[in-house]
Amino acid sequence: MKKTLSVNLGGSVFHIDEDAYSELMDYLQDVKKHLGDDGSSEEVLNDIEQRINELFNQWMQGQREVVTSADVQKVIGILGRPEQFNDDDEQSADATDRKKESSIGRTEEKSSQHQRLYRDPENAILGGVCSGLGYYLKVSPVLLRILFFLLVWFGGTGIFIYLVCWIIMPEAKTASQRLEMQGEDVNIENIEKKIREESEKVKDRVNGYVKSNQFQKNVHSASNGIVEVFRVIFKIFFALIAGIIGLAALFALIVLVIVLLALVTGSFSFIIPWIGAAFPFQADMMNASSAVWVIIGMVLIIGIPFIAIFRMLFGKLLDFKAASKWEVWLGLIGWFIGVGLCVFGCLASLNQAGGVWI
Amino acid sequence: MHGTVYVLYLFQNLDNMDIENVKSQMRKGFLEYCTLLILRKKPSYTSDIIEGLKSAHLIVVEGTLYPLLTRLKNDGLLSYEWVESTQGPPRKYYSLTEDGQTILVDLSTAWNELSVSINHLNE
Repeated sequence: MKKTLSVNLGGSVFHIDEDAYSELMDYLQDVKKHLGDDGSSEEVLNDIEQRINELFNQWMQGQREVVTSADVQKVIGILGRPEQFNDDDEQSADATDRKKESSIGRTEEKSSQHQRLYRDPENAILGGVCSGLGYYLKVSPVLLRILFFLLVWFGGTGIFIYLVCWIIMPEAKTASQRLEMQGEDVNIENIEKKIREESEKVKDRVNGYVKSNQFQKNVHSASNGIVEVFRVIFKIFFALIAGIIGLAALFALIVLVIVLLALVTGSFSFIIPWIGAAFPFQADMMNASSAVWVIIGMVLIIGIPFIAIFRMLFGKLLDFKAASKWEVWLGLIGWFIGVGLCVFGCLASLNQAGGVWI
Repeated sequence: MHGTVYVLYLFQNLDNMDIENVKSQMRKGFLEYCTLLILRKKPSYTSDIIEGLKSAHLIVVEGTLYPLLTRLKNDGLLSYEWVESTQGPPRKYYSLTEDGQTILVDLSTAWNELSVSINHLNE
């Protein structure tokens, strides 16, 4: 069942199918555009409408009630497309060729002044690369898809080239971009026509909804899955790096703690040469007490940030509570105390050795 | 009037113009002349004129004719009257005006001259 409209053609009323109506409207608008502005266009349009009226009457002959798309096409065939009005022989040949092409599948649009290469989101299987290229090169996208698929087997170049195209080619988002992609003139009539065509296609697609939806879903979930895998790999990598840094800090911390203990208890006196090696500035001014301060300071300087980072990275994993405000403040103050101790210790040593400030 | 002047103008500027364009312009002038010739015999409906031109293989699509007829009418070479029809809306019934007849005579002379010149050049 189809919706019909009532139109007035040259003085009488016709019932016409919805789709036939838009075809006829488009045709008459094309004619109007072609006739231009010389003031006689209205009269000519009237004559043409009258002629259409005559023809429809003839064909309806009291038996049929509704003008169909086939009727409109017939009328356009008899009256001719506006381009054929002045230049008969060459253009009419083009027109019949064009009609043949459209039955095969993809119309060979004559590429007007302005055709650009875009990705076609409407007819896209993956990224619309082949569809867009097809419009630009005037070949069937199916051919291009087969070509890419074959290339995949030849060292994976297909995948690479396809990805490059996907990245380089912009997507035809707006109606005017879609028109440019197809090489048609970008003007109000065409944009309107395009939007109407596309809404027709949407209607058709709703009918084929189930099948196509499944396929789309499968492809999309597969590509999403691949992206997810990459994401996880990246996360692991990042965690590894953080872990290595953490381990290094931990190691430094342990060393410092050992050194501290050694100094305090005095029992690991063999470590003292180590201190000399690790902290050369202290070798001369080996004052146990000030060294202790410095080392305590360094433990704080390294340890507190280490704890903070550790908690940030693994807190979620190991279910730590988020750091409360006072913990943050404590950490900060502790860190600064550590800095202070270091400085104090150094100064004390210097003071002892050379008697400078304090 | 149009056709001949056009053609002569075209021939003067042949080096500037695309040959297809020239042919198209020639055909335009030619169509006007032929239309006037058809109407010289007797007044006709639009559809009859179309039939006549089609049978002479001068036009392929009807749409060519509507702007042409209106143009000739606006230039005063043709006139029409509405004739009621039982089969549908009223139709235009075209005939040559006096001006039209005069122009036609001039045109015929001009085309004949052209034809002679061309034949002469082709020898």
